[in-house]
Amino acid sequence: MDEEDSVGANKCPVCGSDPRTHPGLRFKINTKCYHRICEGCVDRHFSSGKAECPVGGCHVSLWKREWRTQTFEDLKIEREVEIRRRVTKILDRREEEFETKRDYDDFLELREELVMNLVFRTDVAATNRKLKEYAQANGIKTDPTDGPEPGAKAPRRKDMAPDAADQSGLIKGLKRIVIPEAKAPYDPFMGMPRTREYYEVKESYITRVRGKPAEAMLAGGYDFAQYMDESLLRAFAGLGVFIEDEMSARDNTAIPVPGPT
Amino acid sequence: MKFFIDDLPVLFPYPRIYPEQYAYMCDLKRTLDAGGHCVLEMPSGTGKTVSLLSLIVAYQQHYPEHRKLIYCSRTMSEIEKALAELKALMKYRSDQLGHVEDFRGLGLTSRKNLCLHPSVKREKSGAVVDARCRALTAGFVKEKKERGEDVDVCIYHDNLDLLEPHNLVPPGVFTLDGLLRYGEDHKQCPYFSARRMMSFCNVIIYSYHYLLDPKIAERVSKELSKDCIVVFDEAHNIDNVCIESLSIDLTEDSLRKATRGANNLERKIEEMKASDEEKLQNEYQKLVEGLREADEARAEDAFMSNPTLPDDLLKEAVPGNIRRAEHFVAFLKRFIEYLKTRMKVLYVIQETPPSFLSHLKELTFIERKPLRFCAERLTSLVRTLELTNIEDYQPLQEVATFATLIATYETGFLLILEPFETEQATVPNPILHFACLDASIAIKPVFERFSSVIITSGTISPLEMYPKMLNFNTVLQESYPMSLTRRSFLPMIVTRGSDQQSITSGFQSRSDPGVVRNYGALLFEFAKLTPDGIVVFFPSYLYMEMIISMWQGMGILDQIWTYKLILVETPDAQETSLALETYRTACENGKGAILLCVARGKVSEGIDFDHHFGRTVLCMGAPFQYTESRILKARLEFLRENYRIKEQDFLSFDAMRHAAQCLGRVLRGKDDYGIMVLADRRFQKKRNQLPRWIAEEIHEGQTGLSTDAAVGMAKKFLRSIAQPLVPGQKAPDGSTKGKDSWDLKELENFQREQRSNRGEGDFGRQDAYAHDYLHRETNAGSTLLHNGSRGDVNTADEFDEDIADEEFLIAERMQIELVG
Repeated sequence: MDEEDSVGANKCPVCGSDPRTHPGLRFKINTKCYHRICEGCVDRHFSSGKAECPVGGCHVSLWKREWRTQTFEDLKIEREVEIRRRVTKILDRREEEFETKRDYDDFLELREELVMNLVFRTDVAATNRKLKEYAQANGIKTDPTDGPEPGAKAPRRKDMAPDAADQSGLIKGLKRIVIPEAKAPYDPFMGMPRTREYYEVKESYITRVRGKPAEAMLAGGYDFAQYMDESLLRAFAGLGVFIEDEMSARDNTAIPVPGPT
Repeated sequence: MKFFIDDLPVLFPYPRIYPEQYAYMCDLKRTLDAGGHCVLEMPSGTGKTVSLLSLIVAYQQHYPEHRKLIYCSRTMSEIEKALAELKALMKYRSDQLGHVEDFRGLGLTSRKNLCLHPSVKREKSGAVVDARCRALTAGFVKEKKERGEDVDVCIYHDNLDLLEPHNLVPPGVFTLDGLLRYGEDHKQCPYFSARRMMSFCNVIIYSYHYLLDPKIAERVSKELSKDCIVVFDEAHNIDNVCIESLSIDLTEDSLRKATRGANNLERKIEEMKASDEEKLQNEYQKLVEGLREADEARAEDAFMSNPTLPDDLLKEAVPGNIRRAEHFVAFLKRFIEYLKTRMKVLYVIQETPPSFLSHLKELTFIERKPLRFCAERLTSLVRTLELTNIEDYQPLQEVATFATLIATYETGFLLILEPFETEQATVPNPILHFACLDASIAIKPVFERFSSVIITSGTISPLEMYPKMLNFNTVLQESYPMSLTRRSFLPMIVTRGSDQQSITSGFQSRSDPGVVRNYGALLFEFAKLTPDGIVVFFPSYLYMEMIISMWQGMGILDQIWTYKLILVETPDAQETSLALETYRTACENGKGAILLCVARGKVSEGIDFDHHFGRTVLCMGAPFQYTESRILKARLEFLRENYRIKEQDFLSFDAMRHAAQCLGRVLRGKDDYGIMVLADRRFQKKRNQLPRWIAEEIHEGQTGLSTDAAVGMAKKFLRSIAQPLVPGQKAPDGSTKGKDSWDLKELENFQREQRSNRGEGDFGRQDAYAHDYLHRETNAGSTLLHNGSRGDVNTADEFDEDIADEEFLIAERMQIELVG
């Protein structure tokens, strides 16, 4: 990449055209081999499907859609950002997820370390393996084209506690995952029994009266079954109330609950 | 003379004192007693510096706290002048008291002015001197030397280590020259002597930047104690200084250099890794621990806070992803690349910091937090790598500061990208302005840290504008009128030419030949009648060039030529100083000369035209700023939204302070006299924004003049000033009022009178209307004048309607070239 920067800075390595001779010349790059060729060459070589990168000595095969315009002037940075995008997608943790700030910083450094490994092509295999393991352990989907050895199964670590936030053991200092207790659905009656003790609205009551419900019965927008229920409740609800009992019960227990009576 | 203000004995090194000086001292003392900030305006040439120094020194010596004085001025010559003044004062004090007080006063200026090293001092550029000095004097250089390595050192600097650290120079006051001489005699470095002695000084005199520029303040001024008295002299431009100190401009070139710097850093890190891994590891360990050290120091209140290093930052450790040196360099490179991509855009962009940050994160995964640590991290890295050629990393430093600032402040800053230099240009030359809009950010640490900050100048009207803009509270704001035995200057507002056409430098009519001819005629008439020098101020270089070439075409210059020599200021500093020198020679020779200069140029700010060097000053056009500038527009909007200062108010305030500054150039003392002409119809309504001492002298008859009327008045004035002064111009009742200076007895009389009028001491002054040292008639006159002028504005309103409209449009499109 260095010679590209200095010598033929603005020349297409395939057709040799130059913005000076071809005004309006635009270049495209891909994120696999980071070769930079002009738009015309991309069209020519890739219009009929997958093909090899036309730059001499490069045998990476590419689709046309993998060519895009470059964001940064420096291709090294372009590549770094691309790698960073991939790594960040996998190692995506926020500060709140860590026990201490120090742990978070360590995590940041680790991530940086991995990115740099990939950028400078040191330990690429090991780094990729780590990422892979982590991704699989945490159920993160990675781009299938990224992995060098797709299909490699990451064994689940036996020594990890089952509630550790990171099952692969790559990131340390994460807070334990606390599974919140399942909450019961909201109960508007605050635990009051809703079974009818003294009566039951039977189908026969309804069918018996069906056909001629008085208009007044349906005036409140009830359907007849509801009306029936309501009337029965009003008739019998008071039967279960024993004021004496409730008062004595309240006097005995309600001292700590001085709520409104 | 020695007198008392309340219980404070003041020794004043002159036998006579001006009444305004006395009033100024009283108010100063009140401020110091109350412990707060103040804004004081004192006419130029009435001995502001000496009264300030003599009161504060008296205050220091009399009260047991011995509060330190930090006196900040603008230019080298002003610093030198203040030091000389202080030296004379201390000599007088020791003569009077009979013993030499234990007192130190030192001035500090750049290394370039204070260097003694035989080869380094020959360097022309200040940056080179700094860099070479650092290479010879840095701490690790000395360590190397001790280890027996062969390195160059500065003998002057190393000699300092042989002396007692608190006694590098003997007590007393040293002017900059004196310090140089002392350094030469004793073979010690004057710059470092001054810097290291700063905490032992009673008075420190240096430039604003040492206190306001965060980069410098961090190194030089942070150890100053809390109870220091801080004085900003000539502070009428202080808001601009504050803003400039936090604004950063990045160009493609500087980014290229920054990249180069980053690459160099990378290489250095590699080298160090190979040779001296341990050091990097140490640094790493320290960063893991956090910037706690600095935090502790700040907690103890030892240092002043720094706008580029906010407090909360110190409490945290450096984020993990920039902890390692190589990661940090990659981080910087990524940031610079991002900036480069932004530069490629071909249309103007204005962006707030949050929007910039979110885009940055999207593209490069740089988060806000590490960005905030950028400047600090770079400093630490540079220190670890023991880099000597720091000037190579200047652009990188700038980028890092930029990163820190943009990540720290959400408001008060704006990012403006201008891809083209001018509207017409087709070749892009992008500049990324990171403009600070809020002057209070830079000065905030100063107000927070020091209990008394005094802002003073000859022209700082309207006073209430400054506390608003800089966001502080004052205990006192005061403007002092000038006490004169007779009218020694004649301010006039000329609104029409001899042909009754109104004259203005407003945009619509500025190239109107009629206006230009009228300006020419005005200059010609004054060239005829003025003895010695004339100084003419234009709103901008562009306008000046245009008008001069038109005058040439009309033959006006040829007419003037027969009376005066004509000299012109240019943006180039050397040409200008040559022009000035010629101008002075011409004035000495009797014929006199005309100096054409620009209201925001160098001449208008730092150069005095006392006595025959300036008898007439002409302001041709109101010096409004170039309002099409995006930075100015953004700032105006900011001021409106945050400080409730209307755009128009600020623009006219800014124009008038520059006009006042120009006018003040010619009157440099009470024995001086001169004519001041404001030639623009827009001055008519703005005259109450002039400093009080000028505004009160503009009587009703001196406004709205035509050229011939002004010429007539000027002639009359010059004739009257030519008469000898009648002795004993005292008020008939024998009181001391109305005199322009007092001896001791008169001063005591005045004090007695004041006491008897208003009860005991200074508290009586609070209800004091105006300054009672003025002649009663003058006071009465001035109130009349105010009433009169108010009435006049009402009647003139309909006439001025088009002016108001025009002001609303602010059609001032001339580029203001700021002289750096």
